Amino acid sequence: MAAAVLAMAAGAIGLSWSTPGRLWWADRALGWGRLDEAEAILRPLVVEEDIGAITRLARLRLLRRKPHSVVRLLETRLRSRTEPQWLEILGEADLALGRTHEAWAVYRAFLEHRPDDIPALIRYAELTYRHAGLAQALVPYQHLAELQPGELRWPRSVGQIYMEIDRYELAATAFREALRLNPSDGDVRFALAEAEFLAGRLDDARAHLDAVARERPGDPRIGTALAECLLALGRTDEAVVGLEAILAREPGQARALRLRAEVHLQRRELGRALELLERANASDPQDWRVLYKLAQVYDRLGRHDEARDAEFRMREFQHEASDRF
Amino acid sequence: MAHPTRQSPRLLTWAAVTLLAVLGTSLAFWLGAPSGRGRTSGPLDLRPVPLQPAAPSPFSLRDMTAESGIDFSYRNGEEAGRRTILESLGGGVAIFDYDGDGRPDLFFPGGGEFRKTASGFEVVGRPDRLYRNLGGWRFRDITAEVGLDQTTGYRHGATVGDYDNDGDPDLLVTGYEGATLYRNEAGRRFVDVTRDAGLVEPGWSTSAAWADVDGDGRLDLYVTRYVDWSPRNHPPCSYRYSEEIDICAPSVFDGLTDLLYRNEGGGRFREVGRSAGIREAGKGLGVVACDIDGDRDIDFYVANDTTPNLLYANRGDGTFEEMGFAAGVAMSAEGISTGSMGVEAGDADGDGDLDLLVSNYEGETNELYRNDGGMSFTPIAMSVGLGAVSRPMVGWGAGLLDLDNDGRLDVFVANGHLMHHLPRNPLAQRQLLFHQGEGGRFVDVGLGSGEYFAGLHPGRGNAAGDLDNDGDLDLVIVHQNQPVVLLRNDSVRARLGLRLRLEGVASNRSAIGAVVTVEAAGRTLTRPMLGGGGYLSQNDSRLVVGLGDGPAAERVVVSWPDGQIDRYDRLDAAYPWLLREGEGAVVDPRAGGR
Repeated sequence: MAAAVLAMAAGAIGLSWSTPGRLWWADRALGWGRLDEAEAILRPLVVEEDIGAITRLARLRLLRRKPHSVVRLLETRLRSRTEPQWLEILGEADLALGRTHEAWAVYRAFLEHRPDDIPALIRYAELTYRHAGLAQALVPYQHLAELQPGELRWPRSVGQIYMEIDRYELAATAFREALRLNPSDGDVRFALAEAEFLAGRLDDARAHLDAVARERPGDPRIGTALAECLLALGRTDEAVVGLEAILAREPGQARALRLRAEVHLQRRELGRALELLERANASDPQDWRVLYKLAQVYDRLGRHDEARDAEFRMREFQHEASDRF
Repeated sequence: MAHPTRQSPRLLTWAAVTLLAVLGTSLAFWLGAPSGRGRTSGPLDLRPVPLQPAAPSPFSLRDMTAESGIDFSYRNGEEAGRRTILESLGGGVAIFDYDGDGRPDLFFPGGGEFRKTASGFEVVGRPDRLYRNLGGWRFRDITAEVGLDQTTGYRHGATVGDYDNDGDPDLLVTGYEGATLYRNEAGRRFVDVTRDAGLVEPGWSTSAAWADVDGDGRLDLYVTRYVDWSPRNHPPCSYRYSEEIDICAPSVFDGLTDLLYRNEGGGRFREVGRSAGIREAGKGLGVVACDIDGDRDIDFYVANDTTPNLLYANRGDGTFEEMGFAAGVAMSAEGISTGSMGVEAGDADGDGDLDLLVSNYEGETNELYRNDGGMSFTPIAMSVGLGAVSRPMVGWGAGLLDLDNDGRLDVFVANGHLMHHLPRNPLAQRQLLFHQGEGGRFVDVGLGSGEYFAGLHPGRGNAAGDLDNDGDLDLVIVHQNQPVVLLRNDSVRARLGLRLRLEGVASNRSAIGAVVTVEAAGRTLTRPMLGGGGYLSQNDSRLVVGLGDGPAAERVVVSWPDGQIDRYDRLDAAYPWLLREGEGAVVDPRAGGR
């Protein structure tokens, strides 16, 4: 009996001094928040190039906000061996250091081993959007949508990317999927309305805008978008009613003033148009769309000096769309 | 006292269970459990929603290409993989009766390709084609017979005008190396007279317009030019949507100033652009010449790609003042310089003056600038139904034409993309066809107008003309690297349009610049004889004026460029008419068969 106890004790002691044993103690220390103790246990194991120890130490250093140390610990080692966990930790360290391009490459390498790792995919998608072509960013977002079909963030992200590259039909399809996942999400419905409008599906856009307007009555952003849609549908009188309602609540709402002025211009009512455009300009002096319309009206009224001034300010504020891509 | 043999297994069991539990937990942590939401639907399905016909169409346009004998495809050289901006523009078509037999013929510029050289690559032309109209929708390739088979460069567009007033329409072909002028010798041959005529300025020419700008009875020539691209100025361009190399945007290059050639007689021209006020270095792709302000002289409206469009108002002496911004036609309705390609002028709203139609790039809408008089315009495309559906398209050829002869101008726009690496972006797009109803609203009726419009095509230039002399306008559309298409108008058999061929005497022989006013069934229709217009293309110069349900025009008034005004009473639409300046109307002796 004593011999057995002694043997077990020796075994336990031996076990505790073995690598797995020390790693186990390091995990216990981490669990108890004894970070210095954990690090002290791990350092000798790192010298012995124990993978588990290196991994734990890297995580610990990240936890202790020492990303430079993590990079020193892992970057060189990764040149000679590929450990997916190390790639993931190194990616986090690169991000902490603001080395987003390096992080992007690291996550790409990690995902070659763990293609369905969702946190890594999310990081990689965000970084690809930032550093590579938008078409490439679509790939991880679409993969996320496959892995998490109930998560509306992914079709929404896909839709936003498609909008950025003027692929309105595809954006609308993605937003429709997002809306199917959460029919009560007004922001998604508004984004879908915008995509439908830009794709030329005016009736669909109007229906979505009507729905959002019912949920958020009085929201000028929605109200002006709806008015613009009605104008494109040739339902000018309804659009005017909507714009007048917005302006009754917010007399300085620049977009509503501009749209209302455009109706006057189409009806050749220059005086009324001018009045509204000047109000819009006073409300938002940097709205170059308003300044453009003002310049047009001033020229037509023979007020050429004021027209040139408005044109000059318009060009100053305008972000020229001279590069279509 | 506990028996050691009974305690040890329990301890080991406890240890093993604990160990397994720890291991299992660690495993779950490191592997990362997926989201608790189960798989409730399939992967993101990004197939576009199928299009539905917007409205029943009064148009019926039947593809006659297979029967026609025309097998021409404009080739842009993209198979070399160079991704040059030169490849993007495509080609046009000229409809004109070169031999005076009364049947309009078809000319297609050939395009080009790129050949490797020791230092890189060079631009090489491909042959143009001239097809003679034999009647009955049959055409024959006569290019070599008339001397047009000498390839002289990478070509885009064509425009037609009788510059020497000898009664034979002459041909100007534009292209990368500059413009080439062919004199028509009595319908038997075309002779390259470019150098003799003095049209020697190099530089990438795109569209052109004949017009008499100084009122001397001779056609002058406006040539738009694009950018300073060359094989030695060909940077690799890639974009945020892809790392692949793609066509460069025009903003990468400098624009070229357009050219204005004054016809000095005797077959000679002199370039007078700068001294005449043509000074802006735009990136010109389309031009139309007409009397925009109603002061009886020729003005020019130029479509520029990503730089402001230009409106050159004639001061009355053949010099010009640029006033696009002040007139409201330089930019989009929002105030952005758009990628404008094609341009057309016509009385879209039936108020007697000429409105301007412009096709634009994707993300922008095509625009219809309503002429409000006094060189003031209001953009109305969005409010009349032309804008919204055009936004996803890249628009090129643009036409204002009355396809159903109801007296109201309809709209056709040829579309097709040019970027190769935009995600899920075919180069072929839907061609847009709008019917103008009462009240001035345009309805997208393309999908219901024939099989051609149900498909996607890489459209570029187009032209309209009465190819079969049946009193309505047919369409010819040029595609990128795909066969051209001829569409016969079968829209409304009972309605004949009033067919008018004008011939100047003191005015230029082609009658460019004349304005025809037709009174019928209580309406007054204004139809100009345009110079240029469209995109890289030339419409049939014979007018087909839809009278609605009436069989005749009660009165036709022609205001000739030199000031002469002729009036004709009761012209029956059953006959094609020749209106010669200063003379009475006669049934057109050239009225060819069908």
